[in-house]
Amino acid sequence: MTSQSYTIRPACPEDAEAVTAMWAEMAAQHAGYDVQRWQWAPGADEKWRKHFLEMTGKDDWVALVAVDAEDRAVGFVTAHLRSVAPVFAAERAADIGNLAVTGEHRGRGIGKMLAKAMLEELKARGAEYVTVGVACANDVASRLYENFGFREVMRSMYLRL
Amino acid sequence: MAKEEYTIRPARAEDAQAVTAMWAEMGAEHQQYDPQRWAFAADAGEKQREHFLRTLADQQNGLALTATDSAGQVVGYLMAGVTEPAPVFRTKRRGQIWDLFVRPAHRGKGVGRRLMEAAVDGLKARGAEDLLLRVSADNEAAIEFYRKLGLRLVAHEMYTKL
Repeated sequence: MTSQSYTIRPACPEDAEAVTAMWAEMAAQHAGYDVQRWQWAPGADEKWRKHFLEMTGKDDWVALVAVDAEDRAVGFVTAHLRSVAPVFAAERAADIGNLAVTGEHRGRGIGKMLAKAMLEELKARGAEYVTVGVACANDVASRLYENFGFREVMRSMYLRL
Repeated sequence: MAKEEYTIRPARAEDAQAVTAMWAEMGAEHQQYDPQRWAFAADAGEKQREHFLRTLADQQNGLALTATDSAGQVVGYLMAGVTEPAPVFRTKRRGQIWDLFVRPAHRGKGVGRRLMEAAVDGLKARGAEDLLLRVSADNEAAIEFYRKLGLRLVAHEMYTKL
């Protein structure tokens, strides 16, 4: 078997099904980390699919997919560009929302390719810094971002009321 | 010396100066943790003052509290609000703590805990189902403080300058 080659390209509406399936995989993984913090609404998959379709093509949203040789999406990353609260010196920032690679394609550098392409895109669009929240138990993701120069500046803490 | 009596009360517009001064102290503490992440605008104090006044005006979602000593001096404050998470989440109204600060001379006396307890009541009254906050990763005292109040760590908030 020859090694697969993967390409990164902007997501399009036709990717919605594949991307939603990967989102659902990631959602289940996070519910496993902390079932209260990541407690999903009924019909969350369909809500996410609609959100993806609404956001795709908007100026303040970036979605990239990694595709295999047959142009099937096997990984994706999304980010939101925003203005920074006026107390800060920086004016434009971006938050990475989701980054996922489907199970059988993991360990092949696809996550790195997605992160690299996303950071280049965000820089080109004027973001001065990028943030991402990583579940405490998700060591693989923390290491990936650290390799791109990210550092942990804050921690989030949670309580069900 | 008599034990200091503190009062927790809703913040008022006339607290703006004291709150802004405490915010600046908190900002300076954060700059020691990470000067790049906490690089503030030249007019940050004024922007924070406006943010404080907007929070006071937003009675539906905003919450601002102050702690005063027996002389009526403001020695601590808390700012919080209720936000609506993305529709994929079951939580529809989420309480978030934006700022919590107690002047160093008044720490260790339960002022922060009382501000937080009042904030939880206020957020619940505004319909909050859960509470999410961010704390500097290097602020071990704050992390331990929130842990004692029942909060648990859920995520690392990572940052890189481009």
